[in-house]
Amino acid sequence: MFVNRVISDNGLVVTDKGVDIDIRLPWYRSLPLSVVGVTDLQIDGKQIDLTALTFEVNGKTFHLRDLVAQYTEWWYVLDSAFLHVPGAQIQRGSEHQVRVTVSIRPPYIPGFYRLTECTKRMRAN
Amino acid sequence: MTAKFKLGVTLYSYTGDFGTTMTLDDCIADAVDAGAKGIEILSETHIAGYPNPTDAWVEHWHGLMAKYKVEPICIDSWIDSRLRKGRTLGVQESLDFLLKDMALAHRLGFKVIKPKLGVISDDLIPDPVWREVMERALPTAEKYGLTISPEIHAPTPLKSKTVDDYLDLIRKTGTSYFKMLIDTSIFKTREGRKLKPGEWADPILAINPRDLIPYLPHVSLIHAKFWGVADDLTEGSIPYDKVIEALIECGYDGYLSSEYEGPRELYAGGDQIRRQFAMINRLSARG
Repeated sequence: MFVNRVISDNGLVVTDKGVDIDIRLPWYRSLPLSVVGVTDLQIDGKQIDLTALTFEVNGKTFHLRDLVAQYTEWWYVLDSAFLHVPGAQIQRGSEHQVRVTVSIRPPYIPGFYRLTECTKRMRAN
Repeated sequence: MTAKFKLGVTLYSYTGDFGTTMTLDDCIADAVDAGAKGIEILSETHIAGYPNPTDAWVEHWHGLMAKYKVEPICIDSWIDSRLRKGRTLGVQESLDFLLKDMALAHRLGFKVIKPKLGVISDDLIPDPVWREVMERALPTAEKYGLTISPEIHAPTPLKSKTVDDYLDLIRKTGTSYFKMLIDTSIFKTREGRKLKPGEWADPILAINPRDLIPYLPHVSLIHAKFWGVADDLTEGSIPYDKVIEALIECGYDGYLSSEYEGPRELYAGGDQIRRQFAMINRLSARG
């Protein structure tokens, strides 16, 4: 469910620091960041170090390890969040395979933990 | 005897399309086009800027209700008990969640709010804080004319501690602002779908729809849950002929809120809503 939404189409954007990946929440309702995670990121089959990433939503930026404490920050279902990948050497116009895995733990059911993995081939813009 | 119930739609039915091919406006327009007289929404899904939508958004919402001559019948919210790692929310924190959602419900014109209580087991037993939270929320419910309605949904049967506790609350407080929302998944008699390996499905309780009749004074709304209506207008898992027959016989005049929960494919929501309405209308004509 919602697999296709995890990576937004045309969501690979070259920046002066590296690349940004536009992602959407794979769930039917908004969730607080405290129950959200990114457990895997691969670009062209190469594992990206998750500790180097930052996660931006609602104009605020966090390290992945700090998401668990964000009880009052919500990721709305229609909004993009952005994974900032520093140091990625990607040219505008080049094609790449991006794989992102988002985890959620809906905060109203015990023991519910879901991973949604999405792979898309995209042109960097 | 004629059917007195009214047909509505929960926009949850459009989950496969909302945010990709359909906007909020599109979903409401489509539901009304299908024949819905009432609209149910999920606060954390359909309200931009939840929990604080702008005045402009709220005005737009009221504008949609007026434009389509449709009424807001229920707003779903959550008490996110497991918000924090390591502990669940206490009474005051849970109450704060609920009061915030009730204020929003009132702002948007709803008369029924369905709070999903944090549960402590797969049996959907509510976190015990629920009782005190509800008792403390009742004065606000009365002030807003807003009925708090937790859902009774498979695997919770009608004859259960959960339902007994809800009825006990109603009896002890004498309130008219706490009722149950009944999901027809409790009437499921067979698994009508082909499930994928590991896919979750509601357990079969096979409750007789006529068993609901004595509880109806304490019911605010019924979710007409379904997973797919076939071309012959039957739903493979729930005996809707018996459900509709029971509701016509006892003169239920509330809403049936159509809740599609089958495969969330593009365009499935709008198609399935129309199939369910056709099925219900056909069954009602027999009554």
